[in-house]
Amino acid sequence: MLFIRSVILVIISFWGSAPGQWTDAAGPDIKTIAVTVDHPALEDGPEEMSLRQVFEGGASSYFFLEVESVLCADHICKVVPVRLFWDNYGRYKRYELEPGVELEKGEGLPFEKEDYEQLDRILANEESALRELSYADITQTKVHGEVDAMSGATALILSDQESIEGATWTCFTLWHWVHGEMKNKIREAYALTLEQRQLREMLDSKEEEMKLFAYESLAYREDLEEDTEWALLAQAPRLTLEEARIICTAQAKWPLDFRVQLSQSLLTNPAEAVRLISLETIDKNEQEEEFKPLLFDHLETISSLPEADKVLNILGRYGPLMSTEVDAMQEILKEKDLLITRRLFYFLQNQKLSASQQSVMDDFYRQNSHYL
Amino acid sequence: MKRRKFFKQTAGAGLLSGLLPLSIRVNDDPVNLGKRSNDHWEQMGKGKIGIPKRQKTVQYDVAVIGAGMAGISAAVASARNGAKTVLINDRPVLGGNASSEIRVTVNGVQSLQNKHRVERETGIIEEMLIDNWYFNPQESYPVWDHVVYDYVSQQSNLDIMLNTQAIDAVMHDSGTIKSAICWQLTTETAFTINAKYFIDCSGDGLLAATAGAEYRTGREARSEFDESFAPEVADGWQMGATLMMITKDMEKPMPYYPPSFMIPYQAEKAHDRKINQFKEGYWWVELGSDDDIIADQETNRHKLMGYMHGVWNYIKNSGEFPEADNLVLDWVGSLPGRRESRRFMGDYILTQKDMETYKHFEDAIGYGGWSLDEHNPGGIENLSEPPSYFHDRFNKPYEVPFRSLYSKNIKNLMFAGRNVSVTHIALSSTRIQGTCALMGQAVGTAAALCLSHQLSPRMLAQNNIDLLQEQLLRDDVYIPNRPSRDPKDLARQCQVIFGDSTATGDAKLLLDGISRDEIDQIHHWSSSSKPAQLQLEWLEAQPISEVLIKADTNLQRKIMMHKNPDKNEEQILAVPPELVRELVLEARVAGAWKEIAQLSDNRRRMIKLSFAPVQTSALRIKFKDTWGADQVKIYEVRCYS
Repeated sequence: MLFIRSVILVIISFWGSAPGQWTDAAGPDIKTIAVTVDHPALEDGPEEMSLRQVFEGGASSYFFLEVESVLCADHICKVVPVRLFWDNYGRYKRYELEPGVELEKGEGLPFEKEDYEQLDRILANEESALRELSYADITQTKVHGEVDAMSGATALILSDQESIEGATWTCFTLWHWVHGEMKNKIREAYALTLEQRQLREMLDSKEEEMKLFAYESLAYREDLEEDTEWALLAQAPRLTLEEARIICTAQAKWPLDFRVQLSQSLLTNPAEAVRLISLETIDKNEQEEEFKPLLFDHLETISSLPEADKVLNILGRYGPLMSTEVDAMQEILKEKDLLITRRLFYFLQNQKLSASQQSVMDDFYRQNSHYL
Repeated sequence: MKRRKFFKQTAGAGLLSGLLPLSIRVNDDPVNLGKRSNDHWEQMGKGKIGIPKRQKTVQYDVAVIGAGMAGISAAVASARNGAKTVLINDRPVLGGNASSEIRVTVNGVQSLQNKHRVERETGIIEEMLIDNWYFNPQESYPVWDHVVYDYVSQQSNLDIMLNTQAIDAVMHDSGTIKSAICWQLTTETAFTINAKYFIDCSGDGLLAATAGAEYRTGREARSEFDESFAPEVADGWQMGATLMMITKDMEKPMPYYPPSFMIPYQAEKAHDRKINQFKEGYWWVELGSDDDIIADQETNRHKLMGYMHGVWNYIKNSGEFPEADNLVLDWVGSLPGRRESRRFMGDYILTQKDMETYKHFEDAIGYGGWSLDEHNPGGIENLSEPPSYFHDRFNKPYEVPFRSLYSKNIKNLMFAGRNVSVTHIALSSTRIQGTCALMGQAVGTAAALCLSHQLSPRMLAQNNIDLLQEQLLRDDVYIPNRPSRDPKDLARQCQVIFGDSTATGDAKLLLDGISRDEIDQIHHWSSSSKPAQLQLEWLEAQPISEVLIKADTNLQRKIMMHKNPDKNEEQILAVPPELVRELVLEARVAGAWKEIAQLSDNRRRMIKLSFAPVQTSALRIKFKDTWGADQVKIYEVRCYS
């Protein structure tokens, strides 16, 4: 009797649903998505599973998946179904058991109230050491003072807060479902339900997770709406490095004229690392001369050697400079700090120069010969 | 924990050895081992009758006794840093506990309770382990012996003496060691090894003991160092030695007939001695001592051979393990792997408390992190108790001070390995071979520095510890909480360092003096693809003749060889794919880039490029390839004139 009371307490305190309820797995507002996912305890590789997407008020609200509590090689463990819940961004929310079903620890003991609470905390910890454990590790892992004679060594990995005595298998199995490949599957599934308009709105969110999700989702799309292009151009000067990486990786699938505009906008970003990523992206475009004017423009504003080096490396691939371009560069020779002008000087040394242009070079050399 | 009752020795004897440092008489009249008078040798080739005169006196700067992972690291470090060095080993192969004679896994810091489960040792020990995957992917122990021999024997400035035991010390009047008297059994030659510094890494430490270096055996009382895992009263408890075995599958039922010296295994009485694998023997086939473990070694060896066969007999003939029907013994150990005997006293005794509080030492030279894993000396004769008490584990590496690695009373004597200045409880963690190797590299480096600066180890510790720490950091040792600040490193004076692409980290981090990622602290630069390049730019030209690069070998992944292939899971049985394989170094001279060094098939995390001095304001390192990874990851770049 004592144990029934504890189970009921757990149901009330954790799952937020009344005892006896088990979220419907089918219905008009539930979409079933077939996903193929791997798990470190699956011996035969990835399996196809049914991910459920739940809609509320016509909009995607959350996802859930029914799994077995333990993937157990020797089949000596008691296995019960467990439902795992995520939000639209693949973040763990909670787990559910079927009414009357309980999880079990070693030697057939049922979970106590604290064990259910502990399991919830373990599953909520994305940084758990469980991430680094393999299936083999678990078989060799010594936790809670249990001696493991196989390793002959301290295969001690999990702290007591990261496992439940006698239920390490369960913790391991469920944690890897929660934080494994399913997260990206959920994000992909959610992204497919959204229109570009909704993703554009997310770009202004104060929640970084939502913004990253929006950039990731847009990065999958080849046909950007005009408003989306405008939104990205507007965001580019203030993108974080992580956001800029997502956008720059996606650029290859977008039209050239938009890429040029986007690069121009990214090069105004105050973070040097973002500007460098943008230049690396231009670098990968190789011979597309449409970028040449913006590189010349950027050279005038440059304040760091890495950027100057990158720009000159790209410009060098476009072939010999025109005389007017040499003139423009020589103007910069007079303005920038020596690390940049020295790089420029060496670059111009290899160009065809007029007598007056050579004279500028000679002057520079005389003034800075100690550093050249 | 209850004190064991089955040892015959009195508690009083154990108590005495635990409380009072045993002082050994300094031998001022060593036996002249090579003196012969009764031979009647008719040498047919020469047609003469004579007496063999096989006595030799040799002179070195540094003599290292014992060639386990600690001694090898000490000898190589000493030689690399300029000291003429000899490595003396009493076995026919190098490697000590790790050799094919014993086959103990080269474990290191692992199973930490943190994001970094593994915090692998770098420097000399890593170089040997990576070489092993290059030359010996088949994981053959005899081949590993030769990999180690190849690694050590190609080191210039270093001589190897195998089958040679240092059995006595000749002392100067000043109380320092003048010579090690050694017997080389294969040549019947007595060697007098004169050296300025002696490093005893032999484990049992016979040379150090005969020199009169203070040492302890047994367990300290809890009160002496406030160690919670120590016994209330000091005793003689010394962790035992183990005999291992390796089996193979004959793919048909095979009988097993035990030898006459087999001692039956009483499985029904065994506590925590699970038989859940059949490949590599059992570390709990182990015997220690409560009194004089060195005196007991041969008796224990004979019994361990019997117990080992006893366990196998139980597996094969009890009917309990049908899965072992097709298995046979393929290799059996005859030389037990030892865990503990003498602990020589230094200026500092490292304790359980130091380790558990992660005490910062100004003279730290390395680290450890194996759990406090105290084996029961009764071992397989004390089945009612567990074979080991895993007292506690660590969240992160603890520091090891240099003051625990030199003798408090013999001025020119250092030590590394299991015989260093730690308490019994501390030894239950520091004894691991990866940790011992770091100690070895530290004392070898220290010996060379003492030589070049005319210092004693104590003077080095007290007044010049920066010298030692900077050299170790330069040579790719990691010292927690001690970033490098080497003023000679010209890379630190560059105006700009940048990569041609950056996936993670930042090129500037390569100059921050920490050459690995720490928990939640990144110290690397990683390109987004390969090939990739790094550039360093100085305002004024610098005279440069050496560039050091610390590349990635994934220090959070284990790298050691195993007897049991099941333990290879999650390891990569090859040179780490992350490691830079091929590179070119260019210097900018008069505005043009010029190749000054190149490297292919690199196997070192610490890449050292030496070249004719060049005066340059920019260097460019072109990383052309790795051993498999798609990105290039680097932790440090240094430049020296």
